[in-house]
Amino acid sequence: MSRNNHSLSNSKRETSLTPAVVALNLLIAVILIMLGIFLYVYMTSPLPAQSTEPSRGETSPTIVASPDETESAESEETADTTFVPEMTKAPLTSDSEPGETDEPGETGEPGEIVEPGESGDGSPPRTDYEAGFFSGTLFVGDSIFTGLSGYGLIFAGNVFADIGLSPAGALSKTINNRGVIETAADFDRVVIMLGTNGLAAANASSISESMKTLVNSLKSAYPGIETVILTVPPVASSVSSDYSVTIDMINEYNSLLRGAARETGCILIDVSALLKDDGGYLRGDYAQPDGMHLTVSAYKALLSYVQTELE
Amino acid sequence: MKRIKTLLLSVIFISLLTSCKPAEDVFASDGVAPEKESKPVSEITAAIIEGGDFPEMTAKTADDLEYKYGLDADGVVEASFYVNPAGTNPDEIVVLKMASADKAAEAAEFFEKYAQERLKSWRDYLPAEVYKLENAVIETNGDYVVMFICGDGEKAKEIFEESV
Repeated sequence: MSRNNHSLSNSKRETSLTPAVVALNLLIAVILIMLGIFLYVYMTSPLPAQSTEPSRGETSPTIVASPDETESAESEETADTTFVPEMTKAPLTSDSEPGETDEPGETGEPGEIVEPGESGDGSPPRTDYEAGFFSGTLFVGDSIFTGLSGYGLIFAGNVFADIGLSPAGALSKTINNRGVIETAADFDRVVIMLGTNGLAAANASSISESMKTLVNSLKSAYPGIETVILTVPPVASSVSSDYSVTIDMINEYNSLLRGAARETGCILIDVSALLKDDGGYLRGDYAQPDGMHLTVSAYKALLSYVQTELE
Repeated sequence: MKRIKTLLLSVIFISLLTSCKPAEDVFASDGVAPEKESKPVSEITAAIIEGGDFPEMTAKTADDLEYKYGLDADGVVEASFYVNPAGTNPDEIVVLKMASADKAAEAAEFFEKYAQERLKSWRDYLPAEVYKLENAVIETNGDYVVMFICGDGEKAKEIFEESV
């Protein structure tokens, strides 16, 4: 009897639906439903892309900005060196030491020829030009003057220059849809270094006449504008005989520019003499490998010299 | 029965722990996988310079765009470009991120004309370098526009595509 009663009691426990049991079953059902939802979303959403660790910093270039190139001017980069000079908008200041204090050079007057050494004391050329000094100056030139803005030495808006430009071509050339006359309207001084490219196709005399035409056009448009002509740089001895433009042609042209400056009332600054070595060719440390274009140290010496003579 | 229920609950909880995705992935707004992050354009151009054979090059920024190319900076989100500073080579590496794909397409047209003009100048000036302009790579990629005038434009393009 008791065994049957025990059995009956057990069966009662197994089949009775107490509130706790109901709640538990509901909980299990809810969990199962949620599990089903999670599994559905997981299976239908796209697989995440293989994430790669960001390589920022790992690919940082070995190109090093060298804002203070003046101090390393003597160990100048070559064309094989990739570098990134820091560029800031005008006015730029070169971060050079105060350096020697030159006595002020004689101020160039219109028609005056200014040569290196007339105002200096024979010491090495200065390189501490002030970009801000040239904020009102437009530099007009050929591929050599493109280096002024290319190297970040002069603000790009102050340079009207392009490869292959000649004095005759400068009057018809447009850069960013503006000609040289229109561009010069924003400036009170124009510094012109042109002629090397023209010499390849025409004689020095006709190029010199073209230079006079260019200057007179500028003076006619802007009577008060200050015009400065720079003699064109020499070429290196290693290439003088290879190029269509030789050192003799350059020297002849530069001598004719003196007369052109006098006739047009321009200041002429003989930067060619500044850039020459003892043999009369472009100094090795001032020359790019092609023997014709200039290095940063050459530009700095040129700009510093021009500033000295114009101050 | 109790043991079965306990076992079932255990299995369910273990399943929950192993099958759940992170909330941000599961509840992504559109269920789309997150985009690969692009590098800043300055890093892209630097990588191109470093990865190729270039003459001397200097880095320029958006401030120089207008004066160098006459390109209106309006619509340019990021800009980085390198040029040969000495006037001895026509090499230029330009990567711009524009405000839209349409702006990028406009800029690409601009650069096509620019490259043609440069080709004419360099043909008379230094014919040996003209091939770089003849093989200039000018393309868009979404909001990006690039111009590669160099010895190996395809390599530059490859480096660029890996970076965006």
